[in-house]
Amino acid sequence: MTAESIMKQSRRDFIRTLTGAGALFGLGTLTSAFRKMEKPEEKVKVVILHTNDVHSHLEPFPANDPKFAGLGGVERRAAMIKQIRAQEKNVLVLDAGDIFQGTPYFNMYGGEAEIKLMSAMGYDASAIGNHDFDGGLDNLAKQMQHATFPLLCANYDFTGTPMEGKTQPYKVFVMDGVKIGVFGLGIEMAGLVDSRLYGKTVYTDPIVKSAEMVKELRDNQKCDVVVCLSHLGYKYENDKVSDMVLAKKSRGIDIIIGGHTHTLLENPVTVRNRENESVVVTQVGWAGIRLGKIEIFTDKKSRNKKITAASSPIQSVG
Amino acid sequence: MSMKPLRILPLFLFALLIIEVSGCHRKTHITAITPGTVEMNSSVQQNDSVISSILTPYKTGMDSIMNVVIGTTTAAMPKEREKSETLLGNFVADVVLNSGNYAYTKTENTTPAQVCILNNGGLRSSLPQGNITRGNIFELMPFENEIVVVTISGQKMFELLKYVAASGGVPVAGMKMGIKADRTPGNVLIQGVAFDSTKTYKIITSDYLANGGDKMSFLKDPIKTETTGLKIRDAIIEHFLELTRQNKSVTPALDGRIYYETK
Repeated sequence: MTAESIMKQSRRDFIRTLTGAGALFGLGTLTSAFRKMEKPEEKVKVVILHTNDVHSHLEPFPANDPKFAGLGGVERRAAMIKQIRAQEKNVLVLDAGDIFQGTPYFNMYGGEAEIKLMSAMGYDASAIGNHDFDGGLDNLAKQMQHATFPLLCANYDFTGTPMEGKTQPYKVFVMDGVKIGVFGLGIEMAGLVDSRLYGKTVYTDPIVKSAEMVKELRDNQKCDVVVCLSHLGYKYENDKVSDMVLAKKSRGIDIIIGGHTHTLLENPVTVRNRENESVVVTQVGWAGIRLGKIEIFTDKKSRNKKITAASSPIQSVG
Repeated sequence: MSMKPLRILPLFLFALLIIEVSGCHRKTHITAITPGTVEMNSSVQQNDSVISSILTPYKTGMDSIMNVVIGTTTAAMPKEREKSETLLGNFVADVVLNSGNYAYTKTENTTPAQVCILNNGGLRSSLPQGNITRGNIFELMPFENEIVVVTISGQKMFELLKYVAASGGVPVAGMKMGIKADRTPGNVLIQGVAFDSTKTYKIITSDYLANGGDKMSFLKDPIKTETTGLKIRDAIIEHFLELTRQNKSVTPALDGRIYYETK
């Protein structure tokens, strides 16, 4: 054996040893990561913070506003989100749509400030509201370049539009091993949004899509908690599909975080679904005057689901 | 140096990984859901430097245009629903009828529209008492909607009246209408004249509603649709500026244009 071949041999050994060590380290880390992901802790608390219909209200209402003087504003909301994140380990921040339209911030800047600020506040996902079409699909696609969070929508097909590939039907968040599946729903555009604004976007039945989403999230993604982020509206006098209609016809959805009707539910409503399981339906008015805060407690052993919210008078605030 | 353990080790770890990944997700259960809300009032501190550094450049540019006072009001006009008429609805509908007709009748031999109809959902914010800024009007009417005139048949006009009665009242001008207890149209005067289903009517409204917004199906397939080129928001801003030039305020009022008929 020449000196050179000895060197080659030992280098090969060295590399092999390194690869082995790398595999050991890499796989070890990976398996422990999987273990951490797949097995929920005994008892876990998850806090969902939510807004809806903020409508470009980046600043608090002025002192002379007849109804909401001094309420709202992104700086205040950011501070509250930061404070809750400091206190709680598992926090999700969600918006139920209609981010855009309502103050000159949107008229002047097309929603750029809204999306940048939501990203800075650490929003984890948002639904799409009818007014998010107000600058057209090109504008929505353009503004989403500034987003660090996804737009969730299971029942709009954007094929052949500027929004194609820029949304996803759902996202699964894993917190202390608890899998939280969040899917998005949008309202029917016809009669509500100028057809020039939504273009070739195709709306499909949210009840049908929800059933598909629940199947995917429960059966394939093995989610422990399923949240619907909806812009359907709380409820209507006619038979138009709403969060209340969806809740009653659904199965496998734990919480519906709603928007569109600007409904302020002092205490969220609990509805029995088709399998007589309870579904929480909630919505927090509009313009960022309140931040919704849902605490979810899980336990590997117990199966008793208690919902402490009581139904109460409902008001439409704006 | 023995090679064997190192050769087997990756395989072993791979197997371990497969077991880990394919192993069932151990389900957990929701034991409690406690929903609530936090009011975003002055007790919540606002001192986020990251947020304010993003917001400030936009705010500075916006304020220079939007904080300009364009006029005054003698009373607040809250955004209200579920009322037969509102101060805000009457004010905006009157401006759309008058200013819209001013723009519309500039063409020779054009007769003005008789009735304005708008939707409560289209009025997006309240107006305060006192100084009104350009920004207030952008918040009231953020949309780029234009004023259009739609000519419809008497039958469709009756559908319009049924819609107004069933909804319990939407912003209108140019008409006075009673609503019966069963939410159908009662006594109706159009420009002071009794409604006649054999006549045609000119309705002034927003292009959004004329294009099928808010399920106003009576505006679909009209006899004629004519544009004015005037945005609703610009009409309101110009109305404030004109009154200010005359040293006047906007004086909102209820006048019983939509009322519930009592037996």
